[in-house]
Parts: sequence; structure tokens; C-alpha cells
Amino acid sequence: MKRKYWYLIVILVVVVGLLLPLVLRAQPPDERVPPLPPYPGSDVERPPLPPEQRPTPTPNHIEAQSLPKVTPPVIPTVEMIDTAPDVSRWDKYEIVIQRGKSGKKVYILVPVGVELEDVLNEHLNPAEGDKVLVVAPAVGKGKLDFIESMEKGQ
Amino acid sequence: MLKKLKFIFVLLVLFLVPSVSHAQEEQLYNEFVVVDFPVSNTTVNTAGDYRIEMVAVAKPATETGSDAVINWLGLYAGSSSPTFNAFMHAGLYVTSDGVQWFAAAAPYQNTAPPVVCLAGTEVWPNPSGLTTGCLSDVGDLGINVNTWIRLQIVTYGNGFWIVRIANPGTQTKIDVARIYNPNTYLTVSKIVMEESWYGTAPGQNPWYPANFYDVDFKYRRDFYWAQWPSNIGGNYGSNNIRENSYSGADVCPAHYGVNNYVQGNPYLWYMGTGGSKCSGLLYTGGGPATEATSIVGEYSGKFMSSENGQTCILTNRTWPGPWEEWNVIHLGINVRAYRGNNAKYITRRSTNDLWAEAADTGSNNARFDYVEIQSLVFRLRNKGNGLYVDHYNGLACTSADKGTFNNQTVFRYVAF
Repeated sequence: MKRKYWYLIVILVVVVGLLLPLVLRAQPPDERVPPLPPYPGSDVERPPLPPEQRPTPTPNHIEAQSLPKVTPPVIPTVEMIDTAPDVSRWDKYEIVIQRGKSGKKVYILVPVGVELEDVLNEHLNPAEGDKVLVVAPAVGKGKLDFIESMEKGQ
Repeated sequence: MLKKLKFIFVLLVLFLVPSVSHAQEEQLYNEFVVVDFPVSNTTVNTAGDYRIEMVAVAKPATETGSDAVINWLGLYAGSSSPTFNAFMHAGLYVTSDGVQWFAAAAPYQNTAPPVVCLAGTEVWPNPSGLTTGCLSDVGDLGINVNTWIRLQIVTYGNGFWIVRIANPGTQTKIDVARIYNPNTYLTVSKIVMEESWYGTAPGQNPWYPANFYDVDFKYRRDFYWAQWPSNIGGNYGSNNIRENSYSGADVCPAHYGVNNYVQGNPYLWYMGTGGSKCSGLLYTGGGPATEATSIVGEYSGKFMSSENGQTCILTNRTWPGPWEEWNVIHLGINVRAYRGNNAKYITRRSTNDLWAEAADTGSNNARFDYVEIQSLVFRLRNKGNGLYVDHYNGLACTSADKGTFNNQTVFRYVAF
């Protein structure tokens, strides 16, 4: 009796072990992907029309053109505060802050999912004139892989 | 026997637990729809000057910090070793906040070429603290949803490439970044629609609405802009449309894809939600047959417009949009005809006013003697009446009615 019981468990575990990866990869479409709203005559969403390209208006000034400078500049490094060194750089966005006192830019690296306000409360001092210049989204490791594949002609 | 079974059981558990936890790992994922443009044509890969017009039609309700939909032009210039020092890209970043332009090398890479931001903010520093990209504020240059931009990546051979962004609606055009890559030879060229999202693959992808249009991906050839030749199949045999997923998802056509020949225009296509084409050629055509240039009054600095054939031709624009680009037809030694955006040729009416309204170049009224003053600078003399073309500084119809020269009879070709 005991032996049968163990056989049953092993069979169950093997079956689950074989099926689990397949189930994880191929969930039914209606669970994995929300259905696209239909449009008349088709079952896929119709993209919006492009905005019309308008004729060029008659302007009243001649645009000033600046020529590129040839001398390569010395590019300074920036100061970074990594709030989560254990998290992959690819999964961290950055808040670029300019200090009011020194005028220096500081780059705060923040894991995706951490609230922007929480970080600002800790690192931004508006009373001293600190201000947020821009919030740059995280990039994702997949982009690097894609860029690499581009060069390989894939 | 029981001990053996227990051992197998433990092994199975040890095997399954890590695989399940990996599949459920939260991280940032990237999904792509790609149009690959062939670079084997020598005229294309040595042009050093490329441009495209693009627009975001909607913005998704994204989470701050990670999620976005992006439309970008990606180029590799130069050798492939080391890999990342040849890459540069620029385009539109769209989040729930709005639209931002960006220009960047390979993000975070120590081997990425130096990037100098002439506008926007330096972002995506690499571990050495050198930034690898530039990102604008939301709405910078008046760029929002439904704003067409012209994106140009150009090198003049002085050690760097310039990323130039224009908003034709406001006639604003600025250099936003320099990417210090001395190579001028193009090895890869792609237009990409990207979704970046944070979560657990594959089930949590929100598949953000992504709606981008791209038009007129051109390269410069002397004083012409020409449509990219796309009929030679690129790096993918007969295909230059494809998908790419970091999460392993089926991107196209389930979620994103391409719609080509939008409004019957081979050079206008859609990338994003609801696009249905996942492979094949984007279009056939392009190349020298599509060369177009603008014509500017040499002393007035104003561009000649076809007026889409609706009024007489005026030479009074400071920005060359589609109405200010002309195909130059060579009909013999120093004899030319000009075809406008409305597919009609410039012709002279009985009043001597010029109109873009001739169906062909059979009449002498639609033919002009090209009288060169110096390279690209010229006068035009109508074959029908033998009189020179005067642009009247844009204050009246451009007309073929001058028997003698003046400053208003001098023109120049400009691929703006």
C-alpha cells in the first residue's frame, strides 16, 4: 500500500514537472493577453489615422542656422547615487537633480517600482533650491541584447 | 525502493523550484517591431546624412520610471569592433507624461562613444560616470502627441555625428546632440518601435498602446534627398519587417505590427498596436528615381512652393515641407523640368505665371533652360517664351517674364 502511494506521488510530480514549463509559456490567449478591441469588419484594433501634413505656412523671418563646432570637448563625469547597488542597472531609472547651492547635477539611480516621491523626499531639498531636471526611464537589458544583435545583422 | 523514490522526488523538487522562480522574475523587458533598411547600396552607406519624419499619435498610461513606448532610428556607423562604439539612435519616448525626444549611443556602455548634449539633459551614465544619451523635457520644441518631427542624423566628417530635430509645425530646428563617432560608413540602419515594461514575463505585459507613423526615410545624394531603396531586401533576404521579444512573447501580429502603404503612400507606414504586417518588404521603390530637392531664391532665402497646384507658384517659404520639394527632370543638355509633390510639372500660363499643373513635359511651357551661374546656382529660362523666371521675392507669382537679369532671377538647389 505504502509503495503504491509513493508511486502515485512520483508519477504526479513527474507529470507536473513536465507540464509546468509548458503551462507557464503557453497560457490561454485570453489570460495572457487582453483582447484587442474590435473594429468594424475585423478582429484587430484599427490604428488611428496619421495627422495630416499641413502646407508650410508663410513665415516672416529667416531661420538662423548654427554651424557645428569641430573641437571635441572634454566631457566631465557625473556624480551618481545608487540607492540599490544589488539591483541590475538595467532595472533602475534615474532622477537627475540639480543642486541649488552648487549647481551640480546628481544622478539618483532608483529601482523600478520604488516611488518617485519617496526618493525625492529623501534626496531633494527644495529649500536649498534643488530641482529635478528630468526623470530618465530605465532602459532594460533586452535593449542591449537587441542593439548587439543589430550589429550582427539579426 | 522507497529511498530511491524519495531521492528522485527531492531531485525533481530541486530542479523545478529554480526554473519556476526564474520564469516569475520581475524585471524590465523590451519588445520590438523592426523595419530593417538595407545598406548595401554604396550611395546610401556613404551618404553620411539621413532623415526621417515621425509622429506619436497617442500616449499610453504607463508607470513612472520604466514603462514607455518608443519610436527610434538606429544606425551603426563604422567597424563592428568593438561593438558598441558604432551605435547611435534617436527618436521619440512616449509615456503617460507625454512625448520626449532622445538621442543616445548604447545606453550605460563604457565602450559607447562620447555624447555631448546640445539640448535636453545628459542621461543614462555608464559605470564610469559618462553619460550616454540626451533626453528632453516633455513637450520640448513643442513636440507632443500628433506633432510630426523631422529627425536627422548627419556627419560632416569632422569626427562626430549630429542629431538634429525639427518641428516643422513651428519651424524650429536645432542640433540636440553630438555623438563622437569618426566613422562615416553606415553598416546598419533600422526603424524600431519598442515597448519597455516592468513585470513578470510573459503574463504581465500590459501591451501599452503604441501608435507611431513614420514617413520619408531618406538619404542625401549631392543636393538631393532620395527615398531609401527598400526593394533589395536588406539583411533578411526578401524580408525587412520583423519582430523581436526579450520576454519571449509573440509580439506580432498579436499586439504590435506594421501597416505599410498607408494612404497609398509607399513611404508612409505605421508601427504599433493593431499593425498586422510582421514580415515581408515595407515597400518597393526608392533610390535615385525619388531624388528631390528644394529650390530657394539665392538672395531672398525663400523656398519655392508648388502650392499643391492650387494657386500660382510662390517663392516665399522659409521652411521646405513636402510642397517645397521638387524632382528635377533632365530633358537634355541644360534643359530641365520640375515635378512637384502633386505629381504635376511646373508650366507657364498665358499670363506668364508659373503653376504646378502640367501632366507631362511635352509642352515647351513646361521646359526650362538651365543657365548655370555656379554649381547649384542658376537661372531658369522658359522654353515657351524665352524669358527668365523671376520670383518677385515671394510677393507675387513666380513668373517667366523677364528679358534681363536681376537678383530675383537667381535660384539655388538646397537639400534642406
